[in-house]
Amino acid sequence: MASISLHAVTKRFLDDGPAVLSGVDLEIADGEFIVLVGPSGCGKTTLLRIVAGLETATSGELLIGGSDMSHLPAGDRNIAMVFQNYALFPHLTVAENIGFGLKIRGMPKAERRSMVEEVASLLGLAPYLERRPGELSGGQRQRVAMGRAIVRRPAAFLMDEPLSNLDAKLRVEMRAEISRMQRRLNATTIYVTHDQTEAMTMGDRVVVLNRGVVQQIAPPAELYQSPANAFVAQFIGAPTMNMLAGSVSGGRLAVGAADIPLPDRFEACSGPVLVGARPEHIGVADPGEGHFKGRVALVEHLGKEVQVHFEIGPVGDEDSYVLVATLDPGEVPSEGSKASIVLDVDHIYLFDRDSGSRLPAP
Amino acid sequence: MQTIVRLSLSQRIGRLFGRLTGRLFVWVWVFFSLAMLAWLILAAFKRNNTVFRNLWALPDSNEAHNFQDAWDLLNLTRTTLNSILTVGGGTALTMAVAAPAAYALTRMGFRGASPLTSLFALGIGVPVHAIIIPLFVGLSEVNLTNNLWGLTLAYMGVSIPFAVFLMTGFFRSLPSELEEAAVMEGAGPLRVFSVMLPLVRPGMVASSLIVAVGLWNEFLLALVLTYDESKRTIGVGLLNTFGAMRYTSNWVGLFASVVIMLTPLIILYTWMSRRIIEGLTVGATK
Repeated sequence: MASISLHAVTKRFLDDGPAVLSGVDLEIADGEFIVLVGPSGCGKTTLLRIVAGLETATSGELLIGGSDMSHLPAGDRNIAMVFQNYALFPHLTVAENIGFGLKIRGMPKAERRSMVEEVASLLGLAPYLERRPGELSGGQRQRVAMGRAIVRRPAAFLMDEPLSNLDAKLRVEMRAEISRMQRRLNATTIYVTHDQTEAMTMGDRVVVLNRGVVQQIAPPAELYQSPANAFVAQFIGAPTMNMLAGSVSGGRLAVGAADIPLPDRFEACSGPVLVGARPEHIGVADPGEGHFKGRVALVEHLGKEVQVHFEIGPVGDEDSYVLVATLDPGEVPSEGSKASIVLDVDHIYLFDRDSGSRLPAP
Repeated sequence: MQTIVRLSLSQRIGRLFGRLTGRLFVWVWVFFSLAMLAWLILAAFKRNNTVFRNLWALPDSNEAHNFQDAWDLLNLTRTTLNSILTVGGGTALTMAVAAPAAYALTRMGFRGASPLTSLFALGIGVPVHAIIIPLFVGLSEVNLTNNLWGLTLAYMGVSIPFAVFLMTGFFRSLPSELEEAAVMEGAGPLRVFSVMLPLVRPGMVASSLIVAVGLWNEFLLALVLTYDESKRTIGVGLLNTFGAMRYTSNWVGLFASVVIMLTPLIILYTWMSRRIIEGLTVGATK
């Protein structure tokens, strides 16, 4: 396996067109599992394809194992890729699909067969070696695609939303299986997804991209607890972080009619801000107390917890807004009732209203 | 959101009328074609002196020897062999050129691929009559007139535009990830093509069949580019039978000849009609 370095990688599909990727810098250690996550069109797949050699960067440098691979054809980079739709060759058997790369490299048939069988047994595909992809289930096809990637022991694995075609149950199973396999092989892996659950559960580190710009690179827990800006704060976490416009002055936060004293860590902040509060940091206060007064607009029971949508401000007014809270089932107010809502100020985040960057800078 | 369009009564009646008229036309066409085929087959089993007496009557005696007579009259052993060689060779060469050409035009993304594809499509519209003289002159320059190789090459030339056009649809419908997966595994352009080719097998079969059927029925090129009896194809042989029939009045022999010529086509169409329809409708729906 090998390390991967991207230095100031920029991509434009048209000479005078917008940058799909802007100055991406990324250092991936040998054996690390990196997840690229972001909304549709953020450039994550383009970045993966540049590493694969299926796209060429407009500028910048790509090093794999310390060697410059920026201009090397895809087939010469010794990288394997698992595609979203598996990209298995339908006319070849499972064994032929897995051994395809070995055959191209001229490996003798007996040796090839032995390596294919080894990988197939690792992935639980041994009984299906003579079947064609059309005769397999979605999960089995996914494993064949993995097998084709693993068998030739490449320098790195690239995975482009490999679980998105599977149903929810299988996706959870395969998620764990890919993670186990990655640790077992200690394989440098870049994994693209738009699913933040996959990002948070699989990656050693997560790269959050938006409009071609890296927003933050951090381990999943850090990304959740210490987002670098308002975009990351809202993108990571479900339900999404509540974001309110407010202003800070003299150590106090004004949001609508609420006037909230801030903890000391915000003493250097002032001026217009965005206030971020995760749903688990919003609660219900006794009547007459709390920071906001609102109406319970919607209650969603999820089993061990309940999501409650509070509407703050006059019903239907364009200045009114919604706060989503995650509450224990025992403390849920009834739909349509009035409620006093309190923010856990020790866990709120402040962001610059113009740039979206975190205040104070982490 | 789905929009439900409500049609007025007159619009619905108009649509129904259009649909019924279309179906009626198709069924009349099918009935006419089948009736002609049935009459031809019946006539081929009749005697010369009864064939036109009662057109739809069944044969009053077994005249199966008409087919043997036609076989001899048409020199069918020779002409059929010539047709098989030129049609088979022409079809194989056409596909050998059309498949890689269509692959390159659709998948390799080079500059000029789009106008070149249009040029191939335009080639379908060029009538054989317009190119037959230059073709004859060109082939005679290289001593390939009155030569089955020359006719095979000419067949290839006139079939390529259609085959390329049809195959581009098939190659275009393949997902690019398959190609990319092969590239990632280290496959070069030829190996990638060899991976993609089996995936367009339905297109190859459909194109080959349509080209072969067209060439089997081809008459003008075979008439102009060959002139020895030993080089004649079955279509030209049939013309000779027709010419001879004017003096011998051997109508049933002529009908039997036509049946013999049609039989391979009918078998092919019956056997492969689904593949042919698939070939002609690829890309029409997703």
